[in-house]
Amino acid sequence: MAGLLNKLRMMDAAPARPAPAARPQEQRKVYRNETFFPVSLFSDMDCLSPELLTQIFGGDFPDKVSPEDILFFDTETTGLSGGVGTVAFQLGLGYFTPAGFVVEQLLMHDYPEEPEMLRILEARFKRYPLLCTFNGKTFDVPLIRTRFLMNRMPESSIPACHADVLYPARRIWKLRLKQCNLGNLEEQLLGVQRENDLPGYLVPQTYFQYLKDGNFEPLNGILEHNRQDIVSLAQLFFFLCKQVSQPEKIAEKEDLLSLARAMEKQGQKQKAVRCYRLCTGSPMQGEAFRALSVMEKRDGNYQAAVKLLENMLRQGDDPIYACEALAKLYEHQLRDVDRALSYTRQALLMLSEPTLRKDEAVQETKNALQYRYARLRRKLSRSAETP
Amino acid sequence: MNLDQLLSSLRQNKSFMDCVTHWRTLPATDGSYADFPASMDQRIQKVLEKRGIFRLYSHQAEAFRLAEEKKDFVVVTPTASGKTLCYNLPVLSAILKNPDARALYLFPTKALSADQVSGLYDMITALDMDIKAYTYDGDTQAVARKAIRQTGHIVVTNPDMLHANMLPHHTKWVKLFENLEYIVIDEIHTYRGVFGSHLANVLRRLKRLCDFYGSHPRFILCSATIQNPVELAQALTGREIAPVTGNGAPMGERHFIFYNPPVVNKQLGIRKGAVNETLSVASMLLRNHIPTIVFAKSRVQVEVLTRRMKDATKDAYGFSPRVRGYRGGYLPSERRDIERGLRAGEVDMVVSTNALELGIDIGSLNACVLCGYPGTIASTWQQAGRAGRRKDTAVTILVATSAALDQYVIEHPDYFFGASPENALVAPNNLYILLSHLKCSAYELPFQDGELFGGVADTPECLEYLTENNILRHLDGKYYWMEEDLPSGEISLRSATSENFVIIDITNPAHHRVIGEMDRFTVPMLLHENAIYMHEAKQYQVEKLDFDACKAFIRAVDVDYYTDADMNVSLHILDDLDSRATKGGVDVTLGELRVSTIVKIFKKMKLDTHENLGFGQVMLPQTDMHTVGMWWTIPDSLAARYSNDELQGALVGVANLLGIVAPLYLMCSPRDIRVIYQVKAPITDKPTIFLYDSFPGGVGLSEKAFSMQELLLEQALQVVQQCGCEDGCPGCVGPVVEVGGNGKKTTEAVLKELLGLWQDF
Repeated sequence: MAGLLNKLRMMDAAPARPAPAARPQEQRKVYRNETFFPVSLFSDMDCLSPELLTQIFGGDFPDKVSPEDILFFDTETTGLSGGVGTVAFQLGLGYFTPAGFVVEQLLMHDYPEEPEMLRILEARFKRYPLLCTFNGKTFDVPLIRTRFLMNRMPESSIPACHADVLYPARRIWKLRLKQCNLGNLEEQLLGVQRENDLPGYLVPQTYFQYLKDGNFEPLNGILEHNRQDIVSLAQLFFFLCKQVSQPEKIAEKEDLLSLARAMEKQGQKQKAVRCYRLCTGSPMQGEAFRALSVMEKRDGNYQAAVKLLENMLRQGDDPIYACEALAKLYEHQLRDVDRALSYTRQALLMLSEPTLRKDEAVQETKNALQYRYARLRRKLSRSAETP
Repeated sequence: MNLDQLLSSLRQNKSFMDCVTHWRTLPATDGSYADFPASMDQRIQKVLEKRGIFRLYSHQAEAFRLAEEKKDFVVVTPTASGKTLCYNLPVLSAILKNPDARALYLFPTKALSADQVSGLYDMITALDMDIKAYTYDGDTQAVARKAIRQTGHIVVTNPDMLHANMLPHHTKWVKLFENLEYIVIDEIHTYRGVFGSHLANVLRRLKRLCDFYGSHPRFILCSATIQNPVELAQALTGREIAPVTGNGAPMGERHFIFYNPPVVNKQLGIRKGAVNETLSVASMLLRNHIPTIVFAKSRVQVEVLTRRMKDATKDAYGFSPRVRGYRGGYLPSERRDIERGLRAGEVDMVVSTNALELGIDIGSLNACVLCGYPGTIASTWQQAGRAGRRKDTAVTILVATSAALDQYVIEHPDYFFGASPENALVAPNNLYILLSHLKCSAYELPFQDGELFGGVADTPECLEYLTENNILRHLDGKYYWMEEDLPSGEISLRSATSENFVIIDITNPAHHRVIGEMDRFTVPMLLHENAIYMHEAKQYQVEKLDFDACKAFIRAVDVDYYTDADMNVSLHILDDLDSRATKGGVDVTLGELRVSTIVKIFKKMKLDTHENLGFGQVMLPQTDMHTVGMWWTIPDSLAARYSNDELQGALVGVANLLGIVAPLYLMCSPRDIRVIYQVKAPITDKPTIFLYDSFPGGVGLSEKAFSMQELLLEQALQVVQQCGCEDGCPGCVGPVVEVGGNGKKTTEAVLKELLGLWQDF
């Protein structure tokens, strides 16, 4: 009877690679380093307030938030599959101390160090009421929760408040920047240029290679990458806070429009109106007025809505929409059938422009308007009959 | 006519009765009942009473008792015996007692789980308690998944989802795994061969995680009638299993009619087509408005039968709403609609593939027509069980095809009606399968030194092997996962190796479609370039075989020949595992084999005459497979009594017969095993007949065949003795052109010698 191992080897299509013997690690302590950065890297840190955080991230935040309460957090992992076998082998933590902004990095030399590393993380987690990540809600935090569970540690230490920068970043910058990964955001918004950065997809293999050959040097690339991620994350966080707290200072009108929409979605009406108004005079004005008119109409401020729509019409911003919306307002809310009819006619006239492309959407609008037109005519003749 | 009248008129109908080889009447049986167990929750009792249930069937009460005793058990009862209560009662009781309790239900198909959940909902709604039962499968929406993980008391899923989605993400299912009290697995007889061997390993993984989370779930399993339900249940779960047999449900009178279409070509043993015969039998039932289900073997057959039946029953507007087709590819909503129509009595006839075979409740049908033998006795009973779910008379008519398997069954009613000879076999320790799941399990939770996976003694060696390959890292007494990807992604529970070829139909250039898959060991035989490949009774020619990309491109053709690849098989015995002798003193050996196959040429054969029209070349690499096999070594003393030609003919004949008989007793498909002969086997230097598993690593078929080899030879002898052909036909030893003029006689003689029955030499 051939030995089982021989049988297993025979099963292989290709001969098994000779595996280097597992090299016992001399280090039995988690690798740890700290890098200090001047606080001057971060601007407008004083704008932080619970209300602002709620505006940006939704949810509740502690009554008082200062930059010292925030733990910036990012992990490097052995894979992206998100299954239970994926390990976060390196943790990056950023926080403010009297001596400046510190990036503390933990790295396990090998798997048996994971529990110790997680215990350090647990202690850090307990110190900070607010966690800040980039895509941590779907990736890092569930992963850490799994790691805690697998190591039979309570997950209660994970800060209850979590500001994930990815989602607001997407809402505010997607329109203008298209790509909203951390790399593109830091380059476009913060002007960061990375040199010789290790691409993320090489991270797992680099770590596995280290486990096999014990050469620590390539890991420095990962640590450097992670350090920069933490600093960028913190900078981006404050940059985001500043933009939302002082929309007047936003130069890019696309960002303003996006911000306004984001605020409207979060139920921050006042701020949304403020941001929409700031779009006046820019190419975003049409979109902004359109949104504003809908908000005003919803609030029962019909005259204000009319003004906005008339303004759109004058400026030539989406005039067909403006006419149709005016017709609706006059017909249903302001009960002025004459004007409603006149705006409907105007819209139909514009739709018959030969230059207009004739697609399905146009045809649909046209049908709706014609239907409205006929109805208004009936109404008008009926009211003429009744004395 | 009602069914009883129709049956008695059929008995008088000579042309019908001429085709009937067997008519079995199973008398009606009374139910056997038991009072509600005292320990059963009053609320459940009230719900049952509201539905008119005042007692349990005896087997339901027995199941409840075993559950109370915290035993693992398997319920073995036929279709329509109320077996869902056997697991729903204990599970609902457990949840009523402890609202944190959880249960996991596994069903082999989606349709089945949908049906079971809707039944469960009804119970739960009637209970008016906050118990949540959910289906979790590929159709479950992402938003619903979170709620299921958190709050689902009963999660209904299939082995594939458990394997690929739940176990590798078990930390999302903490609530379920921490509180798991019951694992319910229905239709376990479908988990045999490769699929069953995979499931056994998936369950090993599941049990390991339950240990981690501190739960100790019990198993409730259900099986159709097979010979070894307890053995199968134990092999799947790794637990001691108590059987619940003895069906307590009442049954109406049932008729089972074996119908063999008349012979049209005696020499080739060809009969009238089963599809046409099925049509005429089914039309007769439809004319009499007898609610009927017709089972066909393929989707195409379903379509053909449905169309012809619909044509025959069109109303003035060209509609025929009383006939409906039902098959796997239909949209779920269509299927639900048909199921409703059946229950409501708006539909008289359903034509179905085996999608409806497993316990979906479709209301009261009285007749079942099977177009061809479904392949196993268990399947046949399950399909027959669709008719007569209530207490009235029911009939099942099995229409045989010309295939050897069908002919065997239809001529051997005792095989069919006797105690089930079918063994559902699994081989959880098949090295390929074991290793795949060991990887998954190591991913899910690091192994510790000394830990055994499912009690497998070879675990340390396997872990060592994975460590050598840098998949695991062994350090400080633990094995850590050291790869980027999830191992479960590339492991399909439905095949032994991950390397399956897809078959792509390129007939329509605008719309290439995948019509099937095939394992890599069969590909060189059937999918080499220029091969004529048959799929659902249509001819295709293979245009291109991309061996590296595992793709075969085929195009529909209409030609009057088929291709037959000449496979060169060389067998190398790796290891003898066991040996014995037949009554005739012939050595039989069980062992591990390396099967090397290479296809170099193929023949083109004319369809009707089997004339050789020419040859073609095949350029494919040799494939090697390690598997388990058994072989009969014919001694020189025996061989010497025949001329070379005679001996070769006999070897062909015996191999053919074993190929027909063995699948019947091993409960597998004919292509799951291979029987080949060698006139002078290089290893034994003697004429040898080999039977081996066509799956890498083997799935236990050859072991079983080895243990029942005498029975297989006896059955082979019976087939050849009872076959009505003159000098051989595909239904016994094979056509004359293969076995030679004396082939049938020498085959019979050699079989007798093997069995020690030969007296006069």
